[in-house]
Parts: sequence; C-alpha cells; structure tokens
Amino acid sequence: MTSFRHTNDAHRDCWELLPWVANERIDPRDLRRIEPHLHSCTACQAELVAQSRLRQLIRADEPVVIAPQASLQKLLQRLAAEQTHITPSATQRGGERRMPASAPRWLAVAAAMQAIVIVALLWALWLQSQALLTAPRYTTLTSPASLPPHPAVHVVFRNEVTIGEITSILRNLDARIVAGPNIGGVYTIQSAKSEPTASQIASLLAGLRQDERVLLSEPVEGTAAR
Amino acid sequence: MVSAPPSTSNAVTNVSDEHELELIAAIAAQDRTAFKELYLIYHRRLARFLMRMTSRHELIEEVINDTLWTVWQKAGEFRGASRVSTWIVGIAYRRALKSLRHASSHTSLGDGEPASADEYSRDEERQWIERALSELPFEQRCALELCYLLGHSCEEIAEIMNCPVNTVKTRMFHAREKLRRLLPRLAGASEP
Repeated sequence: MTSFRHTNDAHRDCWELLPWVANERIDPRDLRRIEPHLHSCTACQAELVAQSRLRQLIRADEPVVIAPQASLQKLLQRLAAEQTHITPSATQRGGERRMPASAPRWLAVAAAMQAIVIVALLWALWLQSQALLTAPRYTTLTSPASLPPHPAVHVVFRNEVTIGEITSILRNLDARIVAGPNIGGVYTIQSAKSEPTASQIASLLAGLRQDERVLLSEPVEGTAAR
Repeated sequence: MVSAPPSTSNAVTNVSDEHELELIAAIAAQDRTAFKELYLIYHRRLARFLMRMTSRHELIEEVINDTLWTVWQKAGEFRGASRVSTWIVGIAYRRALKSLRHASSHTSLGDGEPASADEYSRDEERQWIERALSELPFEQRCALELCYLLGHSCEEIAEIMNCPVNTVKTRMFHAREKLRRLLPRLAGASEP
C-alpha cells in the first residue's frame, strides 16, 4: 500500500473507488470516469494491486466451516410447526402466509361464502334453541297448543255419572268429546256442528248447566264462536 | 502500469442473480425445494460474513436461520428493487446487529478484540489478516467484508448498512488507511 497525497479531485475520486475496481463491482460509468487517472497514477496502480491482494487473502481465508444440513433441518421443522400452528398474531399481521399467493381468486370467494353459510346456520340453531328454552314445558287446560280449532267447553261430570249417561247428555245437546278426561276429570267438548254460532254455544252451555249430573261447565278461552 | 481488471464476474453475477430471483419467486409460492437450494447457497456466504462480523460462533446459526426464516415469510413481498444477495445480506446484517446488542456484546461492536490463539495457528498470512481485521472498528470491518468477502458494490453496501454511499467510501478509506499500518508486509507484497 503506497502512501499518497490527495493532489486533486480526480485522484481522490479514483482512490476511493479502487476497492470496487478490485472486486469488479464498480459501476461502468464510474470506471470510465476514473480510468484515465488510473492509467497515469502509479500510486493508484500500486493501491489497486494491494487491494486486489487483500481481497484474495480475505476470500481465501476460511475462518469458519459449519455444516449446513443440521441448521437447515431445524429451520424446516420450524416452518412445519408454523404451518400447523397458525397463531392469532400471525393472522393479524395480515395473514400473508395463510393462503399462497398463487391461490386462485375463486378459492378465496368460495371460502368467504362458506364462512357466511356457517355463521347463518349457527345463528338459526341458536334461535331454535332459544325458542325451545322459552316455550312452556307443561300443558295447562288453557294452553294454546291444546286448544281445538272451534269453540269448546270444559265439562266436569259428577263421579257417579256413567259413560253411557255422558254419551246420552252429549247426544241430547248435539255435542261431542274432543279431549279428556284429563287427570282432573275434565272433558273438552264441542258442538257437533262444523261451525257453531255463539248462540249455539250459549245453548250448549245452558243445557250443561241445567243438568244436575254436570258439576262444572265453562267455555274454553280463546275459542269463542264466530 | 496497472489497468483495471476486466469485469469478468459481472456476467456470472447476473446469471446467478437471475437464478436466485427464480428461487425467490418459487419460495413465494411455498416451494420448499427452492428454499432448501437458496438456504445452501447462502449458508456458507453468511456463515463466513457473520463469523467475521461477530466473532461469535454461537450466534451464527441463529442469525442465519432467522434470516432465511424472514426470507421464507417475505419472499412474496420482494419486488426485485435490489439484488437478491443485497436483500438477504441486509436482513442478516440487521439481525446480527440486533443479536449482538441483545447479547450486550459490545466488544464485537467496538474496536474488536484480537482473535484467539487457535485462530492464529494455521499460517502466518492468515494471522496477519485476522489480527488486522479484528482491530478495525465494527462498521469499517463490515464494509470491508461486504466488499471483499461477499463482493458487493458500493451502493449495495450502503443499502445493506442503511447509510449514504459517501459514508461507505469513508469507512473503506479509513479501513484501508489502518490496514496499511497494520499490514506492512501486504504493502511490501505490492511492490513491483
């Protein structure tokens, strides 16, 4: 390495760029600019030789030899673990690894639609479960589910009244049993007419209440005659 | 008179860079075979550079794997604005700095410490180089290694070290000045 003095800008310019002349990575425009000076400056020529020698020594030196296979296997295991255990934070960073860049657009659209359908089904299931939870778990005499479609009357006969007598009473009143008796001995009866009027129901109730074999007779709420 | 060497390596460099670009594209598509090939290409280069840079064997594998891990994750974002080698070495450089700071290894970041006796024992020439390089300040040593060991241009070194081009020239200038004093026999070798 030869000592030098910076005599002018061309010399300094050339001197600074000599390492990249030595490693052959100098920009061609820079090389064209400094070449005239390099050809005429013995100091720069000696420095170029020295730097080329230094480069050779550094490149020839092998301070470390590490077998790459073991390290590579570790990294491949890390990649495999990353792909099987997707962390939420990775997804939040943009999900750049979740779907390959080469995945077609239709695949992304299909995945989105599938997600929407799944959410809708889950919502429907939730609504259904809520309806079941809020529905009454018992049935009362006035429970809407047990109501007959036409006006009806609840009747309780005396204990000693036989089936034959009940049949006779109902036949006389042109009525029929549509439900019962329940555990309390309550019958639900309706007029035998397909669409009884209010007066016919009132007549049915009056006939029941006049009969001594009947303990109780009441119209069923919510089944008023038309 | 010494003339500038013909740029014989440029054609080879361009071919290898094109191949590395192909590998990066394949890696972006999750191609593990391409990733293994790139790993083996860069393992040796990075190991040599990192050993010079950090002088700490235990950090080398960690830094190399973290670097290639980042390459695997970010390959799809690489747009070819720089050479593949500049991009990868830049990642390794920053990762090594982080590891050194984390390990509070100020000796490696400072003026450097002489290499161990074992490292001097191989031959005298290597002993000169090791001793001289280890006495350079960290940034100067890195610039010199990036230039001569890995063969980067001035602009690429600036990108890797995240500094202006003139800073790279200045670091190289001072490194050469110091080596001139430390390696008189190298200067003698240049005598015609």
